[in-house]
Amino acid sequence: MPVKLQAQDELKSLMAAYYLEAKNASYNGKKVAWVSSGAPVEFLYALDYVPIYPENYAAMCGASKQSPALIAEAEAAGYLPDLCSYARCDIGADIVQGGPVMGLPDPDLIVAGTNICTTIIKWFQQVAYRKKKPFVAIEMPYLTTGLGKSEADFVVAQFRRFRDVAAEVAGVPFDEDRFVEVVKLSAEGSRLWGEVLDIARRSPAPLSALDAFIHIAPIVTLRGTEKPIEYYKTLLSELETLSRGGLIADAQHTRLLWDNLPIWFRLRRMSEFLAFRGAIVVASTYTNSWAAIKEIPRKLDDIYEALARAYLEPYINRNFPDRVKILSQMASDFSAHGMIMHSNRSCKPYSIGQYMLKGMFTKETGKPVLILDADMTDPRAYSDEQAEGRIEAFLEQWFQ
Amino acid sequence: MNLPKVIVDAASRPYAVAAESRKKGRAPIAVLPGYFPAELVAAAGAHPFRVWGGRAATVNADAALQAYICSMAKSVLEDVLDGTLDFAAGFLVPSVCDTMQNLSDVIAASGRKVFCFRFPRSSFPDEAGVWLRDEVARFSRWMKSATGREPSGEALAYETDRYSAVKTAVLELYALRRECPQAFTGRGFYDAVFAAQTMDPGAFADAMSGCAANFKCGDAAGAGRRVMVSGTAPIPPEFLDVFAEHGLWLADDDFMAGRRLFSRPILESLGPKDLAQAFLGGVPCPSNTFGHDKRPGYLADLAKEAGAAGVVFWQTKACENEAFDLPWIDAALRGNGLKTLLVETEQKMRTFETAAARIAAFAESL
Amino acid sequence: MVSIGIDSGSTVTKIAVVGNGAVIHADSAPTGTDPVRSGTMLLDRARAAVPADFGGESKVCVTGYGRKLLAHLGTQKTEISCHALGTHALVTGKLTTPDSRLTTPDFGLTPHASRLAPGFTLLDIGGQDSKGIKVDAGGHAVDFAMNDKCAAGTGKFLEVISRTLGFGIEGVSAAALASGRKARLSSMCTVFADSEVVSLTARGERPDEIAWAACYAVAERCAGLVKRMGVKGVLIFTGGVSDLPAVAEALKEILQVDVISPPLARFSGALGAALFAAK
Repeated sequence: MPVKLQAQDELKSLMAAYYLEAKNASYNGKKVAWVSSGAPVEFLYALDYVPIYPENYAAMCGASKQSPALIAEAEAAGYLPDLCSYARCDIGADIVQGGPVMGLPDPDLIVAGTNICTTIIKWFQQVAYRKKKPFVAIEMPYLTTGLGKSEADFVVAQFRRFRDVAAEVAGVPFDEDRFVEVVKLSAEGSRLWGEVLDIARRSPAPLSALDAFIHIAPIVTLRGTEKPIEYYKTLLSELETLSRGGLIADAQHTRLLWDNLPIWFRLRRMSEFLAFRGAIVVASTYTNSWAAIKEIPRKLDDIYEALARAYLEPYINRNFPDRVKILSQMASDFSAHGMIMHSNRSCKPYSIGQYMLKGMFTKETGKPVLILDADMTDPRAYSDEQAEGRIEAFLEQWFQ
Repeated sequence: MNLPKVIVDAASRPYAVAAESRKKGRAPIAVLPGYFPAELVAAAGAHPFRVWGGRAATVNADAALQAYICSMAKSVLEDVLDGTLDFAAGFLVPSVCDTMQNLSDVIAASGRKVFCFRFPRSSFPDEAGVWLRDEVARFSRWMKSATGREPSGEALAYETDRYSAVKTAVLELYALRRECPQAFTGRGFYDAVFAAQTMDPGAFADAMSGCAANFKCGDAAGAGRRVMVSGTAPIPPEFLDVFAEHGLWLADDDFMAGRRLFSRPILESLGPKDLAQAFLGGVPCPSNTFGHDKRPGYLADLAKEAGAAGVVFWQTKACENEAFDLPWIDAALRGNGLKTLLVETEQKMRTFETAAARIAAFAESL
Repeated sequence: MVSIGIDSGSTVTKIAVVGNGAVIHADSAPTGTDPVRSGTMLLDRARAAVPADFGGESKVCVTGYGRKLLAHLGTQKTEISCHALGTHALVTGKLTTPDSRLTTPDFGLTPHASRLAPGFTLLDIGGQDSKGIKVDAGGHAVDFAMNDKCAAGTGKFLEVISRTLGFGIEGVSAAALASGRKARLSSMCTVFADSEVVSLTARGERPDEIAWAACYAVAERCAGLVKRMGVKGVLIFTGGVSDLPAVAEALKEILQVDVISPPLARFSGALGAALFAAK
């Protein structure tokens, strides 16, 4: 069975402290911003906002198996079951003030980038309408033909406008020096997160990418602060000890990639199911999406551009040929034997085209792919029997 | 109302009509659902025609896309994958949603020539205008590679006039329907709206000229209640007849493939301001961030001007952009004293009993 | 020495016994609410039916939905691998079926055999799921695609519709074949399709036409799985639903390929399991 890491307890208290601060933000005179996972949070930390990530909260509701009841609330309010289950989960949580921390604190500002999806724009539009608060949508163009100057310029121009709106709402001037500090912290946190993920290149891998989905929370929610840096240092040293000390008991015959978000309500079960069959997920397209700026430029304008480029480059903002390149490189870096593509009812930008991508990847690498039908937080679109049967059948091909 | 034969013909065989443009030296360009000024495509000497799907069986698209994907996307993709649209010189995909964005790559992966126009979903129109200028420049280069010609300012001026005439003719038809909804069958009206998106603009405007002058409302057969419909496209069209069967008159619409499309300002130059105006202006739409917050007021006014007692949301299954707006727009409209009804439709629907029952009950409630 | 395969399906449990390269016994029973009981009962019956000259020993492999409940009987394999291996053995003649009660002698595989040589695509439609499997020349499943969670495109769908129409499940196929083969259902969802059938009936649509529409809907849904795997010339069709010729006819029409079901097609999972047991 996968080892339980001591760092996990630290993670729990870290996240508890984060949500506690968020809940008390207005009491402490701080502004709250609701932001998408791919929004440039560095500007907000520089202005002393408490950024809240509804996506992360929905994932928590899913992992704690509270999502079905919340989703039902949203559907009762008229949100159709075809919509993203993160959105339905959060809308439900907002209606009944439910979930692990009994609802999220109300926003003063709402911000979303299109680098993760268009859904987030639609979702936050209705949040803005209900909460009667300003909403900033930042277009981060899909990289149909790669990342050029005009994509970067457009995003930089919007960043500047967003910065000014955020400063106005906060009622304080924007401090560029503070901003540069935040960007540095963000980059360092992302670098360390990248190191955590890369440790799974080793065989045996001390950390499964399915477990990495749990450890991703700090880089999503606290990116731009000291906290992810401290946390990932602790996690890394524990993983090093495991790896160097030969303390990984599980046989890892089959190394797999994972595409798309996890099935939050089955994360642990899936991890154990695979471990029991000698398989491990060593890397995923989702966890690897937060490796941001590599080097901090000297000039401020260049920092804006570097940040814009980093935010334009998540896996799902890339065109299909680029995605296949990333997947193939990942398969080679992590010595993967095959891939599970989670066909996630809720996430269209990840899921539409998976049949094509599957074929392109197999053609490129010769490695097989399983498409697994599920959903990130809606258990009604999932069946244990069915999913596990398919994974077993997929794994059998290495033992025929 | 009796439409000219050429219009009815174009509506019954849209692709054949679009393909005929080749004879006039204009390369047909298929424009997928979303916003893109047709006059800009035409300014490169090409013939843009709109594709909204409508296929009943989608075996090839079912193999390429999961069961939970929007039925319009599937239907459009089927037309691409089975070769129906292979007469087109290229496919233009405005990326108004996650589905269309990825669909552009799915089409590219099938080996076809495709341009994904990255429609900006931003809060900042000035910055978006600059982006549009760059994106249109890329589009121009693509047009050159697909058809050998790029849009020019001179040609645009000519096309601006031609497409303005189409817009005027279509909006005139909308005005007539508002005046006298009982004179139109659902199908007949949308035959004209779809023909306007397929035919040569000159031919369309010619055919429609005089229609309004000769129009006679006539006496209403029985009493009907006026309603308005909102959604992406009036597909499947057979379904529209259900309204009349239950004594409901379609007095106006808020279809992306209908009034929304034809309310868009016509592009007059390639400057950032005009581009922003043509792409992002127009009436509020779920697929456009600009002016989106004005949607409840806009719809309430539109219904009022049309004398509609109720609004039917014609929800194409799995269309996220439209679905996210439903609950709050619905609440706002009800707050304005309008009755509303949600009907979920799939493009491949062939029988409408369940939906018809809901429409019947809605008619009774009015 | 014989090897025994048990395919504990959602609706029906199948058993097959293989010895000396031949199928010597095939049997089935409804799975019911107790997969252990039906599996054990079939196993007892099979052991009693095997002639003494095969020796008393037997190896068992279980597959299908209920395989975990029957794990104590022998080894386990998933139905994907078993269907691939079992069907491969049937269509390539690796398994002979000496007992004429079990097979149709002039099955007519020969003209297709050369087309199947490098491998083939098979479609298996069972009670709760449907799967397209790409099988290589060695009988291994190299790729597969399955229906999502809903029951559209499975035997369950036809069962629900046939109940509404008042036919038995076999009756649906016979009626469908006798119809004009024009009607279509618009909904792919079992629940919606069922209410659509009710309204079609109320509208006076003939039951045989609706039966065809239902068979066609299943075929249409499964055609996507087949296309995802790719298919050339011949599709091998197995599983409980392959007993319904109307579905095969609809598949032919949609996919424009020959659709053939080997004899004992419903037993291919059990046969594959028996072959795995022997390994």
